Amino acid sequence: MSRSASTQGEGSPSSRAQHLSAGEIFALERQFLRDRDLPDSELTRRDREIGRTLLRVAGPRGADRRALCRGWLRNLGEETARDASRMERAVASAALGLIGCGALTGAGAAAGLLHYEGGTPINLFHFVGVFVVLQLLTLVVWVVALATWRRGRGPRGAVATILGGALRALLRLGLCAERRAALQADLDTLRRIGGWYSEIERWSLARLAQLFGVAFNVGALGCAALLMAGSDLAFAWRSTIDWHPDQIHVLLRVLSMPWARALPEAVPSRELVEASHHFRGAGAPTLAPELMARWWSFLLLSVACYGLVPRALTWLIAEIQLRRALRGIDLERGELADLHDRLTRPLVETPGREGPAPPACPTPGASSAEPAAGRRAWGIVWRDAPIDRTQTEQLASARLGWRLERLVQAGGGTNPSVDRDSLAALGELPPESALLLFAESFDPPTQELLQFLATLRAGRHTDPDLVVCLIAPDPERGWQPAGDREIAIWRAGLAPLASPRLRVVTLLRSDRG
Amino acid sequence: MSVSPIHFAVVAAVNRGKSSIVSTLAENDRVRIAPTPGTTREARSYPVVVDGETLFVLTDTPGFERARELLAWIDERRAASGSPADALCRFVESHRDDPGFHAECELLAPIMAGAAVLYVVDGTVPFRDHMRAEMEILRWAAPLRVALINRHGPASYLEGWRRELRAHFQMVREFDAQRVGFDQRIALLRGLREVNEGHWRNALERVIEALALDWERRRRRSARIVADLLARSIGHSLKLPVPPSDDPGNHRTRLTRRFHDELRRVEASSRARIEELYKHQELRHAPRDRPPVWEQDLFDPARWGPLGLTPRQLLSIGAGVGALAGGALDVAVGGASFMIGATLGAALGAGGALFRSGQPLASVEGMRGLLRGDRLLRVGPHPNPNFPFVLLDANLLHWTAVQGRPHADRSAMILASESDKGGPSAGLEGARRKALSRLFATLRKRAPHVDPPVRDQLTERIEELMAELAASGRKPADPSLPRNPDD
Repeated sequence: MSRSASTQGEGSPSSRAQHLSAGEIFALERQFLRDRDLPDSELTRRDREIGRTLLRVAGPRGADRRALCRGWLRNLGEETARDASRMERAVASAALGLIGCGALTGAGAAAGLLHYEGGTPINLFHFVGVFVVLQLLTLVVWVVALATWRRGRGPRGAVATILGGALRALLRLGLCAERRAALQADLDTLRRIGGWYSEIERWSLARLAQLFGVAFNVGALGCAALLMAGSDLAFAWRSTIDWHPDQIHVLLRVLSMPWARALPEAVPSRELVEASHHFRGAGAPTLAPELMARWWSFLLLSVACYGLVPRALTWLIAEIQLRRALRGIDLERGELADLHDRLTRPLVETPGREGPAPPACPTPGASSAEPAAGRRAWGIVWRDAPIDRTQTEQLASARLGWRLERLVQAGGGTNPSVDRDSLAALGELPPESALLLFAESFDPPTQELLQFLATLRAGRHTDPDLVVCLIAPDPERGWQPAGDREIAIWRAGLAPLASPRLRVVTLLRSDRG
Repeated sequence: MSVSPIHFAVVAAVNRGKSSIVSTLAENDRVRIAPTPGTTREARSYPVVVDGETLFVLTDTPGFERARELLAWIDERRAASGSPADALCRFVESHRDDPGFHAECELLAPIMAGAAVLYVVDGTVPFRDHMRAEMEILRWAAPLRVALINRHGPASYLEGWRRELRAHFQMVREFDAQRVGFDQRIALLRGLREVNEGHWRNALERVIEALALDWERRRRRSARIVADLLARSIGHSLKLPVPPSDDPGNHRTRLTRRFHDELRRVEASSRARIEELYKHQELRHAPRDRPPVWEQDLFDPARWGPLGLTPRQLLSIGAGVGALAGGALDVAVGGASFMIGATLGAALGAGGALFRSGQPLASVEGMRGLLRGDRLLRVGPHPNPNFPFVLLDANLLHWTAVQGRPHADRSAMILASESDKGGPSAGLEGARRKALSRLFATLRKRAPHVDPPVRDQLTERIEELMAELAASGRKPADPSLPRNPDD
C-alpha cells in the first residue's frame, strides 16, 4: 500500500469535480464487494489508518467526503486504485470508438444511399426512410428501453447489450485470466444486487449510444453535403404503390414543418414533387437546378432535424442524467457513510489477550462425606466471622451432633500474631478430638488458611479430623446455609492440603433438605 | 497531543470480581472469569488503544492471598526503610521467587511501577476487619486509589463498605460489572477524571470521546447489517425447473427446506457480525430447550407468535395502502365517485393482506418461452406481510441484548421475559409501521435488486428504532434464569 500516493491527483480534473466520477463509483462499489466478508475489526483498522494518513496530509481539506473517498481508493492498493481509471479509460475508449464508428457508418450509409452514376435517379424514399423514419423509430425504441430498464436487471435492448458487452470487453483488456474472471464476477454481482453503479451504468450506456447517434448523423450529414456539393445528383421518388403526388407532397410538407417558416425554399413544392415522380423504365426526370436545389436542402435539413438534433438532445439528456445520478449519490448515507465513519472516527482497540489457563488441581478436593456423630471437637472461628461461642456450640451440636469444647479465633483482624497464639493453643488439642473450622462461605480459602492449616498439621503427630463448617451471612435473615457453589469452591480451594480427614459442610441445613 | 497512558492495577481479595471489572471496562470477553480462587495467577494488562496510542491500561492481578502477613512484614520494616512504599519495594524484591507470596508480588509490581489502584470489593458481602489489611497496604503503595463496589445482586452492605472505603480511597464508586451498559462505563470514566484532574483529564477525555464515537458507529453499522439482512431475506427466492415428466410436489419439500436453511444462514451470519462488532467473541447463546424468542427458529410459530405485527395491524396497513390507491382515483374523478374508490381500495387492501398471509411459500409457474412444457417450481419470496416485521423484531431484540451485554457476563444471552412478549414493531405508531411496510413492499417488488435509497431509508429507520430501544433501556436480565454460573 503506497501511502506516498495519498496526495497524488489532488489537482486532477476528477478530484476537482463536484461529484465522484462513474469510474470512482465503480471502484468504490467493487471495493465494497471485496470487503463484504472482512471482519469489522480488520476493516476499521485498515481504513482508519488510511483516514489518518489522508487527514494528516490533506489537512482540513481531507475531511471533505469526496476527497476522502478518492484518497481511500488511491491508498487501498494498485488494483483498487486502477479500477476507477480503468473504468474511465474504458468509457472514454468506447466513446471514441463509437464516435468513429458512428461517423463512418453514417458517412457510409449516406454515400450508399446517394450513389448515382447518371442512370436511375436516387430514390428519395430510401434516404428519408433511413435517415428520418428509421432514426425516429430507433429513438422511440431507445426511450422505451430506457424507461423500462429497471436498475439491476441489466441493459435492455440490443444496442445497450452490445454497448455493455463492449464496455466490459474494454475493461477486461490486458488483465490476466484470473483478474478477468474476478472482474466479470464483480460486474455481474454489482448488476444483480443493484447499487449506485447500476444506475450510473444505465445512463452511461445511454450516453454512449447517443454519442454514436450524433456521430452517425454528423457523418451522414457531412458526406451528403460533400456529395451534393461535389457531384451532380438526381433525385426522384418512386414506389410500387400508386401514391398520388398530393399525398407525397402533404407528407413532405409535414416533414418540413420544423424549418418551413425559416427556410421556405427548402420545402418541396407540389410542382417539384410532381416533377420528381419517376416510373420504372422511364428516364430520369429533368429538373431545373434551382428545383433540384430544393431537394438537397430538404434532405440535408431532414437529417439535421430528425437525426442530428434529436440525437444531440438525447445525448445531452443522457449526459445530464448521468451527472444527476452521480450528484444524487449521497455520500452521507449507506456504505459511503460507513466508510466515512471508518476513515474519520477514532479506532478503539482492546488488544489484551488472556494467558494460558491455570493448571488443573491434581489432588482431589476435600471430602463431601458426612462426619460421624458424637465426637468431641475444638473450634476455630476463621476471619472475623461474627459468630459467638454459644452459637457455634448450638450449631455444631444440631448439625453434626458434636460437642464443642473450646473455641479459638484465627485469620482475623490485621495482625497475624493472633494466628500464632491460636496455633499454640491448638497444640494442646487432645488426639481423639476433632477440629471444626467456622468460616463464612463468601470468603474462599486463601494461602493464609492453607498455611495456617499446614502449620497446625505439621505440629502434631496425627492428622486430626477437620470439618470446615460454612455459613452464609444474610442481613435480613441472619445465618443461612452455604450454597453448593461456595461449598464446591471451598472443597477445591482446600484440595492442596490433600488430607483424607478433611470435610467441608454447610453448618446449617437448607430447608429444602 | 500524545499523553502518557493512565494505568490502573485492578486489585482485590480473591474472587471479588476483578476480572469481571477488567472484562467489562476493556470490552474483552476473553478475560478469564472463573469461580475457583487463583484463576488469575499472573498480572495481565489489557490496554485501551485509540488510533494506535495506548491511553488506558487495566492490569488484572491475582487476588490478595496473605495480606495480613504482608502488612505485618511492612510494618516491621517501614521505620528502617524510610517509607512504607520503600518497604513495599523491598518486599517485592525479596519475595519475587517466594511461591508463598507470588500473588502479592504480582499485584504489587504494577503499582510499584506507577499504576493507580482500582480496588474492587464485593458489595453483596459484608466488610470484615481483616479486609482492612488490604486497604492499608494499598494506601501505602499508591497515591491514586479508586474503589469500586462491585454489586452484582442485592447490595445490603453498601453503607458499611462506603464508610470504610472512603477512609482509604480518593473515590468510591458502585459498578455492577455483570450488568452495566455503555452509559455507566462512560460515567465511571468521567468520574475517574476527578481523581487526578491534571494528569488524567486529557487522556480520559480522548478515551471517552473515542468510545462514544465508536459506540455510535457500531449502532449505525448494526442498523445497516439488519437492513441488509431484511433486504436479502425479503426478496430471497429459489427456482427449480421441473421437467414435464416429473411432479413438482417431489421437489417442493426439498426446495422449501433449502430456502429456509439459506435464510437461517443469512440471519446467523448477520448476527455473528453484530456480535463481532460489539466485541463479543465468545458469546454463549441460550440453551436450546429455553431460547429467548429471537433465537427461536426463523420459521418456528413460537417466534411468530410474540413478534411482528398483530393481525389487526396487518389488516390496517393493507387497508391503508388500498385506501390511498383508491383515494387517488377518487381525486382523479374530482370526488364524483363519492369515495367509492377509497372504500373499495381499503377493502381490497385488507383482503390482499389476509390473502398473502395465507399464501403458500412455494408456487409452480409455467415456464414461458419453452416448448418442452417445463414448469418452474419457485419458493419465495416469503409472501407473508408479517415476515419482515418478525425478522426485524427478532434481530432488533438480538441487537439490544448484544449491545447491552457487559463483557463480564458469561451467562447465556437472554432478555427480560417481559420484553419477550412483544416485538418493537408492534409498539410503533401507525405512520411508522406503514412507512416500514412500504419499504418492505418495495424491496420485495424489486428483489433481488435493492435500490440504494430504499436500503438507506430502511437503515435509517432501523437506526432510529435501535436508538429508541437503547434509550428505553431493555436490559438483558431475566431474574428467573441463572446469570453467570462461573462467577
